[in-house]
Amino acid sequence: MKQRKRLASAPARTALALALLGVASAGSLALAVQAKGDTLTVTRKVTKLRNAKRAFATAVADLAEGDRVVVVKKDGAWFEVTFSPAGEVAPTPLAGFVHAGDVSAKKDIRLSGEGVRETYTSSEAAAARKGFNPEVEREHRANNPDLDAAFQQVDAIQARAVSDAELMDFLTAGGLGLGSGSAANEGGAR
Amino acid sequence: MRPPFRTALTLAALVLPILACASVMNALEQATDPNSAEGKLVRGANRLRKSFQDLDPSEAHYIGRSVAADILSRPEYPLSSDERLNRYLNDIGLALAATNEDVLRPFGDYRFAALETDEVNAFACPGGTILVTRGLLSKASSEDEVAAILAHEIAHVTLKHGLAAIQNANLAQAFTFLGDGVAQATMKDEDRAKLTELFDGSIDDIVQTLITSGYSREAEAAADALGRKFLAGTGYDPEALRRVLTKMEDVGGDGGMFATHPAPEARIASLGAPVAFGGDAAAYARRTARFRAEARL
Repeated sequence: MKQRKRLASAPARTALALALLGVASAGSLALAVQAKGDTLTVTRKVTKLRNAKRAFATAVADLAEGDRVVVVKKDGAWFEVTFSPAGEVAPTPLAGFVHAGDVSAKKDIRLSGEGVRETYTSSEAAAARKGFNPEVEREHRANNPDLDAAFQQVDAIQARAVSDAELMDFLTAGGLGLGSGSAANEGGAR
Repeated sequence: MRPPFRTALTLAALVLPILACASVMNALEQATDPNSAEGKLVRGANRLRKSFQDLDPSEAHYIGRSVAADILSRPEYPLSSDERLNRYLNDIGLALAATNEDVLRPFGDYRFAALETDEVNAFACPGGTILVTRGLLSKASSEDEVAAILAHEIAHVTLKHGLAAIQNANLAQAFTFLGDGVAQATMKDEDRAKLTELFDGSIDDIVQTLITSGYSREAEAAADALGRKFLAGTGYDPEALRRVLTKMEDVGGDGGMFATHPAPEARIASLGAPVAFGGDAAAYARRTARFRAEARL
């Protein structure tokens, strides 16, 4: 917050900084969105807060579209974060890891507005209306009733449940899994 | 006369959207007070969407659902009811997605389904719904080769090739419209109609590319290269892709993928030198055995 106050009180300096930032390399600046204390928004319908930075690590909590997590640090393809579950009178922040591909630093991220969460803030709802969203799909379907059967098939395809346990068993039985590829590629030709 | 810092701010606001990538703009948004003049400028510039890269995950999801529905509505692409095959495809595809950190993570999740046609083809819909024909799957003779087919399609989703097929004119109109036309609490009927028209245009662009015109040679080469990386990341033989392409080249064909993709020999050439695979031969044999049991192609 100190930084924000300083920026606000010196607009000329900020303008100069903006111009410099605009021409500087994107790679180094991307780090700026990963600072401790930054808030990120979950952009997937559902995902997991995990207790380690790897797929299939034990889930600490379920996360849903629009949930907010607070960055502790960026760690490879993962963020170490804290998450305060909604609905608790005195929420205790949970610590864990979320994949960087599951969250966004954008403030005006367009959510579907019809995810698993029951309530969206008015600004979230406004952002949702500014995108291709379920309402647009409904209109598209209303205009094309001949697509109904196909949409039901899409629903069925997307509703398929595949658990972490099933995938882990599948990987293990096939001699596959995290890290097996890089290790395998250090060997010679088959 | 305008204060110099205001001039500088205006210049920055004009230049930044052109020069800066999304991460830079997000960084600026983080660094400025939303109630300050510079904060409002940055946020205003940030709201301008310029390319398919600016479509958010939930938007890609709804676009992809309609693309998939369009394909499935066509009599030539009936959805397979082979539950065992569909489950096997999902196990392989989701194993690839879960074990590669650089696979794009869509709003929903990847889901895979077979189409009952001899046509050799596959469709990667934005948002991660991937449809593969039995004709293409029949070119595979091992699980690793099925994985090669799916890894190529996951690479298309990761590289956003489907969304990139939306014509710029459609996208520019949509973004302009979405930027200011539908901010009301309740969308007006005419706004919804216009938005749906732009949505329909975007779906048509993608379906047309998937079914008729195909991606560029460069896009296919990029998907092959990334797909091979995904195979290695999971522990599959990355050379399985070359074997499937060789089978396609040997058998030949027309229509479907033969019409929309570069010739298999050109794709094989672009793969470059073979990648060594030191995987466990016994595990490879176990995977091939389950391929024979699960995918009766």
